[in-house]
Amino acid sequence: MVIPTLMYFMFSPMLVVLTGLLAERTGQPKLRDVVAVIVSALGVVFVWTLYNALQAAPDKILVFSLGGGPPLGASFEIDMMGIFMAFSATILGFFATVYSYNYMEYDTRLTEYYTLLSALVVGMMGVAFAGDFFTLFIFWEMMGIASYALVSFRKDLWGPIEAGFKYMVMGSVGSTVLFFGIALVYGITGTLNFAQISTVIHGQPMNLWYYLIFALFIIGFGVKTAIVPMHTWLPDAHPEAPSPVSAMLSGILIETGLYALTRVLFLLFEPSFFKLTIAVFAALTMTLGNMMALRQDDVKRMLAYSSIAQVGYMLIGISTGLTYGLMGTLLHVLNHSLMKGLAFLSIGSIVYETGTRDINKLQGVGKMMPFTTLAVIVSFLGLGGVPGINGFISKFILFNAALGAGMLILAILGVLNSALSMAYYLRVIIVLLSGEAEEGMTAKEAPILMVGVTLVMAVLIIVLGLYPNPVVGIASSASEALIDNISKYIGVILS
Amino acid sequence: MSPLEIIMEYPWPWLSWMIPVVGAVLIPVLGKIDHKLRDYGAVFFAALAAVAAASMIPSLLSGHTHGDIRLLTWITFPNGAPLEIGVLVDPLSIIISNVVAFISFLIVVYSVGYMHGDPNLDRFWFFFLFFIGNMLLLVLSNNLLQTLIGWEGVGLCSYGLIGYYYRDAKERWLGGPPPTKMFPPSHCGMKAFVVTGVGDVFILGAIFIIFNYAGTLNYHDLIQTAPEWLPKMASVPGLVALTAILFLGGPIGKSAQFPLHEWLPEAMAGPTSVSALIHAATMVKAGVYLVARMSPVFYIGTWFLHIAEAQWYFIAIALVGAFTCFLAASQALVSVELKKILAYSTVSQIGYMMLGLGLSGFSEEAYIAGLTAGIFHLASHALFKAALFLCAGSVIHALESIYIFNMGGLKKHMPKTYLLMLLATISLSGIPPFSGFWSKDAVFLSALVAGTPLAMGLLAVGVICAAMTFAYSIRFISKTFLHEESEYIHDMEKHGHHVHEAPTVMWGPIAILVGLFIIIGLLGLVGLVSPSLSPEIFIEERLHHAVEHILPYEVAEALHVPHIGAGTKITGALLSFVALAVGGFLGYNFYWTRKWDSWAWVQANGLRKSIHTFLWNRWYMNSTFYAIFVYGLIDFGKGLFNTLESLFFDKITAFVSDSTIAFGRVLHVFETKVYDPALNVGIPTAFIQGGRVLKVFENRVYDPALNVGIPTAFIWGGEALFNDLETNVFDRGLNEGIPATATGLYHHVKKLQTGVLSYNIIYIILVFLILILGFMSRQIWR
Amino acid sequence: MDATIWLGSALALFAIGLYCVSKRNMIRILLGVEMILNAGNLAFIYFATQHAAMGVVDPLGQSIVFMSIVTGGCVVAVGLALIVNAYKHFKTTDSRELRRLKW
Repeated sequence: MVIPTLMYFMFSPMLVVLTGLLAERTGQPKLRDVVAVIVSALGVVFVWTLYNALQAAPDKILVFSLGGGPPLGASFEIDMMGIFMAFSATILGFFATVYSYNYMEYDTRLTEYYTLLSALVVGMMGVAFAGDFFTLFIFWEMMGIASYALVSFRKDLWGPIEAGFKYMVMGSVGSTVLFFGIALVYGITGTLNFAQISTVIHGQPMNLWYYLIFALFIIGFGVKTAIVPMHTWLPDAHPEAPSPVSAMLSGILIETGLYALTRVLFLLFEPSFFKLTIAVFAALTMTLGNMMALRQDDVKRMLAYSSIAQVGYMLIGISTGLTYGLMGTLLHVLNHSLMKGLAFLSIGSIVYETGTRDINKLQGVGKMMPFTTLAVIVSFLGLGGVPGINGFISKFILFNAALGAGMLILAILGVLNSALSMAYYLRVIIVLLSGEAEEGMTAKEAPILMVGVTLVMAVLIIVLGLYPNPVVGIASSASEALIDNISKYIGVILS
Repeated sequence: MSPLEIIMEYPWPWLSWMIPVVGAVLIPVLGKIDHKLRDYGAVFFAALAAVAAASMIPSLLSGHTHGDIRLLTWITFPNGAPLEIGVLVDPLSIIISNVVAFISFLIVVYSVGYMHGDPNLDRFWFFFLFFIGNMLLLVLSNNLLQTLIGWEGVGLCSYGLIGYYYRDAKERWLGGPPPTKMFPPSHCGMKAFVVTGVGDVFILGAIFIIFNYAGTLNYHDLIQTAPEWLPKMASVPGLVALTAILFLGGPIGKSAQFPLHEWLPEAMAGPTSVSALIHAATMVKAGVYLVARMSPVFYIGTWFLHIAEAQWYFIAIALVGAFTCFLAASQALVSVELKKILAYSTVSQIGYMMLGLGLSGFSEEAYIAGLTAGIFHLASHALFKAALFLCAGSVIHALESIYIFNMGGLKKHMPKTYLLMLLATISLSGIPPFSGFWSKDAVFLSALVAGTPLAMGLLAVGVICAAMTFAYSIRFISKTFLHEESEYIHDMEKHGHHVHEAPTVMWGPIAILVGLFIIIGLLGLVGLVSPSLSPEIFIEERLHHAVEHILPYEVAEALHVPHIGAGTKITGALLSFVALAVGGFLGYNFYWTRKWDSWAWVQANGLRKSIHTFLWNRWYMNSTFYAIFVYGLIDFGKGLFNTLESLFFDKITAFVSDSTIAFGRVLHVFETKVYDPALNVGIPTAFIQGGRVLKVFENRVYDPALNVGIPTAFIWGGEALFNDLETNVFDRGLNEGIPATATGLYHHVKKLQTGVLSYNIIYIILVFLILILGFMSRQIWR
Repeated sequence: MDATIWLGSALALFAIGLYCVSKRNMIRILLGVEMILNAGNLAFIYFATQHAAMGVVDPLGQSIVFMSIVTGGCVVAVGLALIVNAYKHFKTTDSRELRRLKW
């Protein structure tokens, strides 16, 4: 079961690129889109088979090494937490690809586009399954480079170029800083394998080198995760990218950064070491994100700031250092990937039809595009944390975990922020639903595939909100995996 | 058992909330087929829901209720008990769900006539049915979270239906008449949503705290385990009282109690049938229900665990209820919009219910009596207030005016409506033997049973309010139906619009409602002779039964229903009669016969005039709230913030830009002094060029900012401190709120986040340095 | 002594790279990114010699350095493409001109 997944890893972007070139030559360009959709759907299927294989595995952990065993070879370590992330990534990747079929119809260079999109998904899966820093870094860069190119995909416009350049510089500074941190870890331990590193480092008294590593990792992962004050690229890059790419970036890419950060922090340090720092970052991030989102007139930019705020909520879970809090974080990652993905896709449909991103000009669109508006409402209410939609459950767990960990201030800040955030979500909903459309504003319902994708996601969100137990169960075992799996992984590697 | 089997075993509670929700989803489909089919479909679904709810009555009568039925695990919280989807079928929920379902059904029938011909009925029926489903879900659910879902659902429907005429045509505006400010329906809907939202934030906070200590949200488990988790919570001083008051925030918002009551009068902008159902009979009672539902927890806390703080739950809600009761009744005396008078009356009557529930915690004996009073008044008020609103709807439908000064003399035009409304008004005023008399009497009795000095004080307020109730009841009946027709009606007649009686489909449902509360009233009379038939005693027994089952065994043992002596009962009735006599005397002379001219009486004296103005302006509360929370933020947003800005935010901005500059300088010095000479030989000119550019940039931009900007800021800050302190802090202190701060912060962050790439990189470097230095200093201190 | 020289120069390269990145010329920024990456490479190579076993330099350190050079090349390629596009359409390579997207 592990082999085909790895094959998928290696070859899915190549498959897309080859069929793309072939399709362009033979004059059947739609074939390429279809292949891209199939490839992204296969991703979901493979993660599902991996999940089944993992359930069958004795220790609930699968280890697979390329090029010899550790410390030399690159190894994949597949556990519940990785599956959880990969599942979120592939499912959103699938939705984004299907959506692109209509959305990118009038663009050229689509072979590059689909290749990069599938490389992005593969990169995120690689980060989710990485068993050592070597693998992590390579897939991290793969994900990064694909996303830089995707943000500035429409290279004829100023916005994408500027946003893409900022993102590229800040992102690559982040990953090079991360690389330096990895070098220091290697210097201390002489290995890059997570299990071996953990046996050497964990529980050691802290000295200056560890602080340096910690700071380097916070910056390295934090730039991609958009932790304030390293977030400045995000409000530029997310709105300027094509909407399906925005959905991928906001929905899952920043969470992949968060996932890697969580993994590495718990791998190297005791929770008590980083709790306070992360808590400060959490408070900063959510407050600033919500505050900046309040006054935005560009709806995609508002969503970008809201993503920053949501990252802040997720950081709360990490800062508790408890399994319970981590479970909240993971659950919020999945929920947020669906909700923010849906928000960007459905707003993308509106932008596609109306050609404007200015909230004030969207009056009366609700009547012209009823289904899309319904999807917008579902996602926005979910992001605001209305009971009955999945975002509520995960926020509830997060804030409750903060209370449980004795971080009363953080919980109060979170609840206040959550209440504040309703203000800007409601504003968009009200504008969409109320009033007469402006002169000359005409729009019709978006193409069938775009509407279909958004409605399917809306239904998924409501179903997960009304019956979250299965996902909560998976998230729960995933968060336990993070705490336990180091020892299991050590057991597998060293035996 | 599989979930399906569990549902099949006792399907009624499930069906009663699922059918309307399914119906709501089907409405747009039916609307596509045929409009008649859609309207009758809505009636059909509402009828099915009522039948399903009524099917639970046998178990209520027999006393063998099913209790907590758990369907399947909804969420498994790792640190707590699993939370199951389910229904809680006990007398409390059966009584309220029947009231809700039955009145909903009647009002749906009424709406078929009332809303006939409206072009947007798809939306109307969707929200209406969705509301019924969510309301029943709220009442029947077995845990707080599920209740909260229903709670938000009804809020959403309420928002959608208040703003139903969202095109904001002038004749739908509310308020006035000019010069008084008027509001469009969509504004009113928003106001309702925001104000109740404030309450929701509070209740969410309370639920967090409760869950953190109890580890469960299931009502049954919460109450059963209360003796274990309440002491833990009580070990933090003030936390139990805080939780109680936060928890009450939700009901206070939803049930329009002071200080969150201002949305309900404005909620009358929706269609009248909506006002009758949502804003009089059912949704606003959700708060009362929730207070009653959670009261066992605090009962245990107060009387079993002897935690003094837990009693705050009861004291706070009693105080709020009594004050709101008086506040709203006083405003109903002067209002000129028919529906708004009824809305104030609703707020005032809910105040009675809250007072009753609050009194239940004043002494151990009063618990069941107070609970009974609250729930009994809820049921009887739902019947007569729905009838009143529907009658008002008929009148407004016929006249197309909302103001009572445009009415008058309608008795001969609309005799049936007059009769029905008169009966409902009599019940509202509390004239025996109608149901309003018995239920209001129950509130007085519970105060007498409680017997503490505070309870006596609240009782006095209640009696005064009863007198006021009678007075304003006479006022609106007289102004609407008695005496001469107004100019407005004459005008209408002249233009050929004949004022017509309401059609059968509209007065029929009202007649059923009126019949019901007359029967309840007569049963109350019969109950004096044979207690087994008295509705009050019936509810008391059922609630006793319910509470006994849900309380832990050792607490339930100690619970007993006090026997209310004849003396107490007579005292209660006497108080009612005194109130009726006073209120009736004033109302009769001022309004019924109009022997005394009320307007001249008000104008005669400066004090009376100012009191009238005070009441007319709604105690200035509405305008105060607007001034503080709406206009304050727009107009005076800068107010105190300017001071804050110069004292605090500017310094942050200055510090960050300062340190950015300083850091740049260090690097620059490093480059020119160390780096450049060292590598001077091989350096390409580009580097030197870069250094020069930096220097020019520094001279032109950085230095002025450093040398001029910052000192100015300091001087200005000092000035602001002395000059603005008085005006800004004291005069405008109230106007400063979170949004103003947020706006200001927004601009500051905006200023920092210049969009220049190199600054962003420098922030990253600063974070790096701060992290390293922070840890090093921590290490050194250790 | 050895460690001081190697790690010291790696850290210095790191700091210089960060400084370079905070400049305004786009090309210079890219060079800065490369410098930080090379700081990491240098550190890796030094550590690889320290973790040598049986007289052979640790191959793990070397392999990751190769990979990082490759990915660094990719990043620079993307970056240069962006710079070329920026220059072609807008005639500037000044990163401070990149401030149209503010809020």
